[in-house]
Amino acid sequence: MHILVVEDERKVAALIRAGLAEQGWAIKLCHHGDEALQLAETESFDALVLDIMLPGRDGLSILRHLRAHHNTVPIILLTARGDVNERVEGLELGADDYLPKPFSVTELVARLRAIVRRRTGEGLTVLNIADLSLNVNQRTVRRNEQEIELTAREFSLLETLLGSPNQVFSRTQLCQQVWGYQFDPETNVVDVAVQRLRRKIDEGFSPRLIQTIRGVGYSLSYRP
Amino acid sequence: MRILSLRARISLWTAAITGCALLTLAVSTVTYIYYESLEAIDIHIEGEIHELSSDLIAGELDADEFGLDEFEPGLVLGIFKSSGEPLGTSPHFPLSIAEAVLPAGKTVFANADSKRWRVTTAKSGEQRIIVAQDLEEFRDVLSDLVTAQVIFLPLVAGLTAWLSWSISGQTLSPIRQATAQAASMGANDLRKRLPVGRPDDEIGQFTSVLNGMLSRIEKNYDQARQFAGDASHELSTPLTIIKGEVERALVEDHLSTETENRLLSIAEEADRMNLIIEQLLLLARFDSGKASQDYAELDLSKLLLDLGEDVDLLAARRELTIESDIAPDILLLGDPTHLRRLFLNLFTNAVKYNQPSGSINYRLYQEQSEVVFVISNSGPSIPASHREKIFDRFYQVDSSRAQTGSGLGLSLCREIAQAHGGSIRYRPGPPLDNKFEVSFPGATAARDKDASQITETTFA
Repeated sequence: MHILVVEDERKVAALIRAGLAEQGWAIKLCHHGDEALQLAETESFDALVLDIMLPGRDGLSILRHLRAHHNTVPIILLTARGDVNERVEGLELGADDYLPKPFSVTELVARLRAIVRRRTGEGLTVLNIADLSLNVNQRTVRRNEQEIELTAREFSLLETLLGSPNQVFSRTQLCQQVWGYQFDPETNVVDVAVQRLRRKIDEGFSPRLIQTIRGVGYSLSYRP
Repeated sequence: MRILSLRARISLWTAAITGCALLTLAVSTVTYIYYESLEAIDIHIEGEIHELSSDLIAGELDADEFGLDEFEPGLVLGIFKSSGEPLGTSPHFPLSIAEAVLPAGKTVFANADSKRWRVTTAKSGEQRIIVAQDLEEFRDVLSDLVTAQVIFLPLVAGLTAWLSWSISGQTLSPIRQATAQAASMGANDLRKRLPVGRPDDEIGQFTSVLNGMLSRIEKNYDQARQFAGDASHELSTPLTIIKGEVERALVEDHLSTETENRLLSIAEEADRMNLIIEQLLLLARFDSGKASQDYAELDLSKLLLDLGEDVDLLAARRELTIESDIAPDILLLGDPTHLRRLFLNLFTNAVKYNQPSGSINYRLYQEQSEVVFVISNSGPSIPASHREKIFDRFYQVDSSRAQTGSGLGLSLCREIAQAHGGSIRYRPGPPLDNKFEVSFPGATAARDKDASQITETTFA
């Protein structure tokens, strides 16, 4: 994948580049709004990561310009948290997703995968790993041809982990993506939920799919 | 004692001053008329007696033939011998006057025939002449005058009071309006201004000055509010970098346990900071009134039922017993994201401040026109001295213990409840019973829905 990252904050940009490069993706960095628009119009990218606050032309203006010129490249906006207006305006202008700051690079990777998948239509309704499959539309989960009953949160948790296999999700990230609410870190809600999910999809099956990465979080990966 | 209103005091003072002025005027008028009239009477009777005595001396008047006619109403005369025997008197002459020893050549008062008289005496040779004027009419006139004053004076004073009451009412009405306006203003609507009325008079100037002060307060308040928002906003970029770097460092191989623990501690604190920033931003949005989005009707019962799984997850590690009782079909106008946050904050607190193997009990029900949510936990009660402050920002009951919280959870709960027109309270109970109660107004929609359901079944 070829991705253009537009972010004027050098350190944030460097972090994003490092994170995306780990996925084996090709990254182009750009720190200025006008330059970014020029790049987006001349080169072909699989996706754009676009900060809203930029020197020169701002992110929303770039988005507006691209969409007005029928450029349909998938775009994720990096917004300041809490700025609902910016977020709504961005989505109305044709952004595919938004990520409020402070964000985690792993989350950005997950979102990028999701919007590209959405565009290509690949794996839209059924997500798979090993002998586990999850049907997004029917909201069913099967492992080894056996139907597994999940609660709403467990399903959403599995869907998130399965959306980016092998990727490590931190507890904060899972809180935000599954619950949309930041639980007090002392409450261990994520750990309890993962434990319960593990009991349902891993116990009695082989190999184990949910991995604990000590101190960091969880990932779903297949290691035969 | 209650101090009278400025308006009442102005009216009373005006009435009192007018009353005093009128009273002085009345007293002096009556006195003046009394003395003037008396003097006129005196001149008249002295003139009469002078004429009579000259006539007698000249022998033009025969005592026998004179005095049978009353020559003027109320005026009488009598002529007496030196022995006191009357020579002649006019018909209504009170003889008792003659018996009194009256100084000759002087005009005095005398009482006779139960009347009051003005009497003058003169000597003409051996004869004594007495002329007296009955003062009844004089007294009638005077007493009529006094009566008129007694009636007229309070009337005028009352009228003055009424006039000054209505005039001062009109004059003071800008102040009353300004007071009402100022009283209705909270910290969140400093944009309002007091009505100025006529800008050039004293009250207009006063309200203009107050409005100027309000503008300065609003500006400072806005700056403080803006600052909280901006500060949290600016903190998100460095926090993104800290979190990113720590996460990258943590997945590196060959970390010593010590380094890993340090990095974990940094990651944990960054998460806490993230939570604080998120809540601060939300509070800033509530402060600036931007948080209230378009509210839609939502099923509060369903929202709480959906949170059941989260309550279960929250309570799992502490092995708490959970009881809930949620009345069905309770509708509310609101923002589901905010309401979910309100309830999750309360659930989190109920777990965090509980004792191991304790219990949580929550209920949602409708009480008359209110929707009430009550949650109680078996943790130690909040000490009375802290109860007032638990909804304040950054306030923590046990500052040494509750290190993982942000101290903003309950203040956010209060903002959310208030944004929905409701309120949140701590209800003190017996030890080991902490109860929080959230109430929302309305929910007439729920009843309407019930009513329409009944109608449907009736006609089905």
